[in-house]
Order: sequence, then C-alpha cells, then structure tokens
Amino acid sequence: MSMFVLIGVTTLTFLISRVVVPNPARAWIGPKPNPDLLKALMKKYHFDEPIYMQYFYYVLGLFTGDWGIDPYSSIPILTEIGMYLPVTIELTVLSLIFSMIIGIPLGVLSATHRGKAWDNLVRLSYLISTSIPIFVVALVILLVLGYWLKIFPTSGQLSLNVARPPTITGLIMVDALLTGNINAFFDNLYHMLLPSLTLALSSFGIITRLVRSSMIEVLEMEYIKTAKVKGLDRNKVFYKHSLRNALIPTVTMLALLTAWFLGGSLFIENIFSLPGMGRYTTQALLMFNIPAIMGTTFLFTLIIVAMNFIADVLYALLDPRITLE
Amino acid sequence: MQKAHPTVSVDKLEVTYNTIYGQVKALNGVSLSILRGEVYGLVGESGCGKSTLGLSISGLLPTPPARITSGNIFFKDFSINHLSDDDLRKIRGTGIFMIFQSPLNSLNPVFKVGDQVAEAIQVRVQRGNESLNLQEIYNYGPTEKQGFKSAWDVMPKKAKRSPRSWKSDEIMSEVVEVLKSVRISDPERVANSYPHELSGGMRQRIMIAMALSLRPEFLIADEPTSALDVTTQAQILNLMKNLVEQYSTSILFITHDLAVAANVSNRVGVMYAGSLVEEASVYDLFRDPLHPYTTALLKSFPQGNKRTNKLFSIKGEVPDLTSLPLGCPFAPRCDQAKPECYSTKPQLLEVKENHKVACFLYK
Repeated sequence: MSMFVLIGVTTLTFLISRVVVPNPARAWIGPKPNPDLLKALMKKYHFDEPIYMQYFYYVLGLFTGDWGIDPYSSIPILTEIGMYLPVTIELTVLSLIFSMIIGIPLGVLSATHRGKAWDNLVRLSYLISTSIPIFVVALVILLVLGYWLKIFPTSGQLSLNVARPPTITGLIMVDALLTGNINAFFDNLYHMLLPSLTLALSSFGIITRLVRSSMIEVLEMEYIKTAKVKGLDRNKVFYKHSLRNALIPTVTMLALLTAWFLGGSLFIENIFSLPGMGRYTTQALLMFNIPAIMGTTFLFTLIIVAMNFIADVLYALLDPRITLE
Repeated sequence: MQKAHPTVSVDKLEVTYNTIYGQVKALNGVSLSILRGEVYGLVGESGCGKSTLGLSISGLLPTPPARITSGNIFFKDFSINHLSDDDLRKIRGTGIFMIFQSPLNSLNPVFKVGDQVAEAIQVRVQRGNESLNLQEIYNYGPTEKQGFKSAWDVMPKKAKRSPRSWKSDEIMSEVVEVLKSVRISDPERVANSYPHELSGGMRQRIMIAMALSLRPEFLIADEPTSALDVTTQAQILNLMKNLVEQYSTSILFITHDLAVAANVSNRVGVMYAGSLVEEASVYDLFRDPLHPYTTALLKSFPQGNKRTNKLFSIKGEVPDLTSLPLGCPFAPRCDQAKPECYSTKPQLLEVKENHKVACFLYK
C-alpha cells in the first residue's frame, strides 16, 4: 500500500517537473548561456537523454542514495536536507505536542458539557481556528506577541549571545540536552514557541472536533453506564473509561496532522526565518531547483507514509481488538 | 422479610422523553416496591417502559431527552431521584448495581476483564467492605436536598486505606476467586482476556462477577439473558439466584420472556404502555391472571409441548406514547372493554390477597 503511494508520488513529481520545465538547465544558467556549459550541465543531469532514461536514472538515484546535486551550491541534495531537516522536525514535533495539549482537553470539555456554554465556546474557537489561514495567524501572533508586546523573539533559532551546541543529531534541543547545555535548550524552545504555537493554533480544531465527537459517542456506550453504575468516581469514568476509547480514532490524525504541519512549515519557516525544509522547498521552487524539489517531495512522502505506519502501530497498541498482521 | 421497609420503592413515577414527534410518556405513574431478598420480575412488550424504569432507579436516564416529571424513587426510604450525579455515585455500586441487556457492549473493550472486575472490588473495599448503612452514612431526610455524607467520611480510620495500598495481588486473587464462583473454569486466563475474546455468556458471567464483588443491596437486571441461548440463560439465572441467597440482594428482573420471569421471580409485575397493569406473586399471576392484557400475553406465548398452527396474537397495536388515550391504555385492544374504560384510567388496586390489578372488571 505505502509502496504504491511512493511509486505514484515519485512518478508524478518526475513527470510534472519535466512538463513544467522541459530543460531546467536553461533556467539555471541564465539568459545568455554559454553553449558548452549548457551542454555539460545537460549531460551531467542527463537532460540530453530520452525521458524514460531520465526516469531510470532518477529512480536508480533514489535507491543508491544519490538524490542529485544542487545545481546552485553543488552540494548533494541529501547533505542539504540533512542541514535543513532538523529544524522542521523540531517544529513538527513541538506543534504536534502543542496541538494535542490544546486540542484534547478542549474536546473533552466540549463533550462533557455538551450543549452548554463551554461547548459553544469551544466549538466557536475551533471554527475560528480552522477557518483562518495559517499565514494570517502567524502574522497576527508575530505582530502582537513579537513586535508590540515584545514577549517572544520574532526570528531565528537561538539568541545571539547563546552558543549553538555541538551538532550530534542536528536537533538543537536534543544536542543541548545531550551536552548538558540547559541554557541553549530553553533558549531554543523559547524561539520555537511562537512558530509551533502558530501551527498548533491553526490545527487544534481538527483534534478537538474529533475528540469531541468520539467522546460523545463513547459516553453513550453501555460500558460507560456499567462504569458509572459500578460506583466509580467521575474522573475514572471520564478519563479512564471514556478518554482511552475516544482517543483511538484521534491517533489516525497523527499522519494527517504531520502532513498539515509540513505544508504549514512552508509559510511558518519563511515568516519566522527558520532554516528548515519549508524554507528550503520554497527557495527551490522559486529557482526551478528541480533536484531539490524532487528530493523534498520524496522526503515528505516518506515521512507521511512513515507516520501512517506509526499511527497503525499505535492503533493496535491502544485497541486490543485490532492486531497487526 | 421486613414488609415496612422495602429496599427500593417507586411512587407514581412519570418519565417523559422529549422527541421530535412530541413528548413521549415512557412511564405513566408507576408504583411498586421491592423487598429485601426479593426478585421482582417485570414483564411487558418492548417499548412499554421497563428499561426506562430500570434506568430511572439507577439514575442513568439520559437527561435530556428524558426527564422525571413527577413521582419519587426511594432507596431504603430515602428519596434518591433529586440527588446530584455525584451523590448518586455514592449509592451506586454497593447500593444499586445494574446489568444490561447486551453483554457485547457492557464491558469496556480496551481494558482486560480482570481489571474491570478489580475496579468493582476496589469500590467495595474503598467503602469499608461492608454493606451500606444508610442511617449512619446519609444524614438527611427524604425531602431535604442537602446531599450525602460520603461513605468515606463516616468510615472508621482503619478502613481508610487508599485502594492503592491494597496490594494488587490481593485484589487479583479475589478477582480469580469471584470468577471461579461464577463457574468460569480457567479464571486466570479469562481475567487476562479482553472482552472481545470472550463469548456473550462469558461476558454476562463477568457482569455477574462484578455484582458478586460489589455485593449490591439492589440489582437491576435489564434483560440480562435475552441475548443468550437457552442453556447459557439457565446458568446465568442460577448465578443470579446465588446472589440473592448469599447477600440477600433484591433484584428487579426486567424481561420480555415470561418463562424466564416465571423461573426467577417471587413476584411479577406486568407493564403495558408505561403503566403497571397487574402485580402478583409468580404463582398467582401465571395460574390466575386477572388483567385481560396478562391473559392475552400468556396466550400468545408459545407452549413448548404443543404445536399449534397459528400463534395467538393480540389484535390492534400498542398505543402511541405521544398521545396516550384518556382511559385504560389497553382498552382499544381489549375484548371486555366497557364505556368507562375509555374515559377513566383504572387504578392499580388489590383485589385479592397480594394480587393487584388495574382493571374495571375487578372493582
């Protein structure tokens, strides 16, 4: 199943890139190309060969770890991704955590106060959250918290006076913890707070709505009546017997949310000046950097397929009725 | 049996459901009382309000749409229908417990069966391991609404151990014991299974095991055997009888199956369209049914030893609960209906010793 997705996505991006820009080498080299240089470039990227051979080289490259070379910087795409990916991973993980911290309790609150003031307030909040475009949320947050109130930094990963911890994993927070540099850890978290909060604010509605509806469904199940009539206290009925069941469908949102955050990173990383995959991708798009675009598309697909797999595993762990085959 | 103090009594209870079709009167002034150690069988067609009565007593009516419009529910002489959910919770479990019809849905699918039984044991242990002494625990009168002192407040200090300090293997060994007592042959394996791995009969046994661990004073069994096959049914019924023998639990046994009601009950009440139409000891009711509806109901029940070509069925239809007739709800379908049956609703009156009927034929 995931194999088909990967084959489909790679083939499609390959075809689209060739249809949109039949000869990217011409775009890279500028308006008055040196014919020898152009020929050399075309040979290097196999643009002078028939399209099926180009596809063959592309797929071969994906398997052998040769994802192409950035024509502008002459650095292999994989090396570049290695530089930009950690920021995006930090951003996505933090956003996932924040959107759950906001989304799940609101969903529970809404379901347990169904039809009352709290419920209406929560429903209004997630309607607003899901209907305002992410870049508007980002700009408003930046304006209010960053420029007017000056509570949060507006760009970058670390303050100027904080040294970057030595690179071990590339994730600053993890590296800081590994080297025992608590100061850098909190400084990085402080910088990442606004961008990840923005992503969380524009996506918690998805979680809240799902938690609310599945919680309402669960609360009407007979086993909740059993739990109540056993004489269990309110918290046990709500948080042990209901929430565990209500969260099972929410797990499937993991992959969807990750996809949403990766898409959102295109805006967020540019607005908050973070050197991550989102910014790398937008720059590649603007400059017809075909190898980079194909590399990031493949990577994003890989990540989403992997998240789907993780969601399936979690699903089986949470629900004993489902077993992995 | 103490006649003066029933475990549970219901007084002129009216329950209404608000639906898009209008107000459905699910219970229309039902009064009954159930004594200590008594099994009260409540029979009637589906939709006659049997389950609504059970849910009302346990305080689990879905409100909204349902609402108790008038009447009272007493648990050991204390009115409980005005209590908040938190106060009710203190009576539930060791005071009132309920077993539901569908064993498929009444256990939580994501927890092991043993843990769910253990929770019931913990509730009992937490409450001091004894049956509820309401006089001591609840210092309030039937009309006051100040609420309950919790069992926790009046418990001797020694018993105030948190359930966590109860060693978990102590509880698990009780789980195994109680599963054994409901005739589960390999209790360790069953305790470690999830509900979906067990059969319907097994799951209903687990529910009974929970009841046995809680030792409730009052048990509502809402069609507990309707989803089971006949042999399993008999085993479950025997287990419920054990509950009565061991802990003198009172049971409200709701069923549409007359044979089951005849098997387990001491007294039987017959419900029709939200009203109790007849109530008698099990022997009297099946020997000498008085109400025309009871007679018809008994006639429409297939006899195991006879083969008839066509089963008897009562003519007409169950009345629309949104607009109940003024008089006797059964009058439009009754062969012996008189003019007054259409205009006034007959009251449930004792016409013979321990035999009540709501019908003008027996004035």
